[in-house]
Amino acid sequence: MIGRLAGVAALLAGFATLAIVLLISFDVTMRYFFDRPQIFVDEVASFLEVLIVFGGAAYTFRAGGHVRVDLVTSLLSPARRAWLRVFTLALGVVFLTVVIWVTTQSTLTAWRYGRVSAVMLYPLWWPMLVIPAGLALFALAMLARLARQVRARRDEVAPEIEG
Amino acid sequence: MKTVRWLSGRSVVTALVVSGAMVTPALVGAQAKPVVWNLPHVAAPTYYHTLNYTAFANKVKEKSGGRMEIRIHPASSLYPSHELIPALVDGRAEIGPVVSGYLTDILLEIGPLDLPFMTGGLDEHRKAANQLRPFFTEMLAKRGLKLLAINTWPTQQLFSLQPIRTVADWKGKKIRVYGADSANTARALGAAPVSIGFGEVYTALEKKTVDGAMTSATNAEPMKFFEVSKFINYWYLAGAGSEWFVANQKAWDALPKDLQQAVTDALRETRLEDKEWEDAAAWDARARQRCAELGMTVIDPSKEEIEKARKLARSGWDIWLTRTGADGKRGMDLALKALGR
Repeated sequence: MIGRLAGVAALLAGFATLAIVLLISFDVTMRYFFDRPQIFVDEVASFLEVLIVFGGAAYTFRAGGHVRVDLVTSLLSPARRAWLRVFTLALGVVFLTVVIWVTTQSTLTAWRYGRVSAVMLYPLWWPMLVIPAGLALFALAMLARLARQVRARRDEVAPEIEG
Repeated sequence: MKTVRWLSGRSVVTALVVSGAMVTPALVGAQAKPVVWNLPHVAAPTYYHTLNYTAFANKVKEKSGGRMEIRIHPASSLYPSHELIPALVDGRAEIGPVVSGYLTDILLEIGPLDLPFMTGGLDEHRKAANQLRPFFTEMLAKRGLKLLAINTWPTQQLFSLQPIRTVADWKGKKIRVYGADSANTARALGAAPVSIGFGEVYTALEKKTVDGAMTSATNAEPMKFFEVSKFINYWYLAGAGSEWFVANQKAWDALPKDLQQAVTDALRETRLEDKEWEDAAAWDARARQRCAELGMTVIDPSKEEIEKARKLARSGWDIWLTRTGADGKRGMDLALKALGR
């Protein structure tokens, strides 16, 4: 289930990348050849960037794509690595929970105050909502990995790539 | 039962010891520790706002005998520009500026004087702002903010690659704008608005992505706009940029009376409000002189052309009115009355 959701979110993030390319090309063409800049593009593109980052976070985690430094961990024994993995995953879940809480509060504030973008006056709450939603999915994927790591043998590090 | 009683007794003793150990130093600390308020801002550390607020903060410290400290966070180092107003309303920042340039939703109704072409210069803007002070105080209070001073940014002008002397010259030009109202104005004057972040204006002018950019003339030298635009056109798109210096009301109410007095005294003794308007005028005058010295051509459109532009820009005012309801209408009526328009 988490895998499917992460896949859908990543697909949306992929489409967002394509949309940005098309929108900016459209804006440049209209501005350069027809003197008609498309003022909405700047804001829509920045909203789509949010979707690219946070929509792809869970999928990237499951695919083992996030940046990791294994300079120290590669020197540890499998048992120690397994324990360290439990610790870092738990820490990650706690950190994400805090960020999800804060960004949800920000989104609710934006909705309550009716906050809008500077030029096109688009409601800000919906692109802001993508941040806690994407992070929640990321946290769930991390939690699932943590559960698998806890269930695994003490000297075994659960696979870092899924799906 | 006996066990429970023993546990209770031990718990009470433990609680007393622990709380005593924790509370006593805390109380001692509370006496020594100053009240700290955060003042976030968007201006650069060397800009006159930052210098004036620093002088004010130093005076507060002095007047309070070191019991209160106001920490200045310039250049959006604490909150990004559009987060400033919500931070003040929510009380995340205790004191700070409500900058008219960032009025896009919350408190939009307090900005009638800052609509494009509403005022024609700093003096006119200040005079009208003084008359609207009770209105500003009331609107800010509705959002839980206490008005401390009405400060200002310099006038907003137009940098361009070609001279823009008349309303007809605006037609078809791609103009960098910084918000919904400036975009509406550009459209009303026949130009095509382009939304570009402040940091990208230089490149946009250099690469001719835009034909002109609305911003303050005081940016010509520090941002090196003189290198990429030949003309500075004094249209007075905004006669000033209001900056309401406010305190979060809850934070204010939580201050002891003597510290409230220290803040009030510091405002008066540093002449913060007067200094802000004097500095804006001085910076504007210096910028005008420097633009010429740096090789730019200073264009002064005629009064008739500016009046013509003002009439066209009124369509943008109507859009603003639809977004601000009864309070906006009241503010607009007060503004027009104060300006005699």
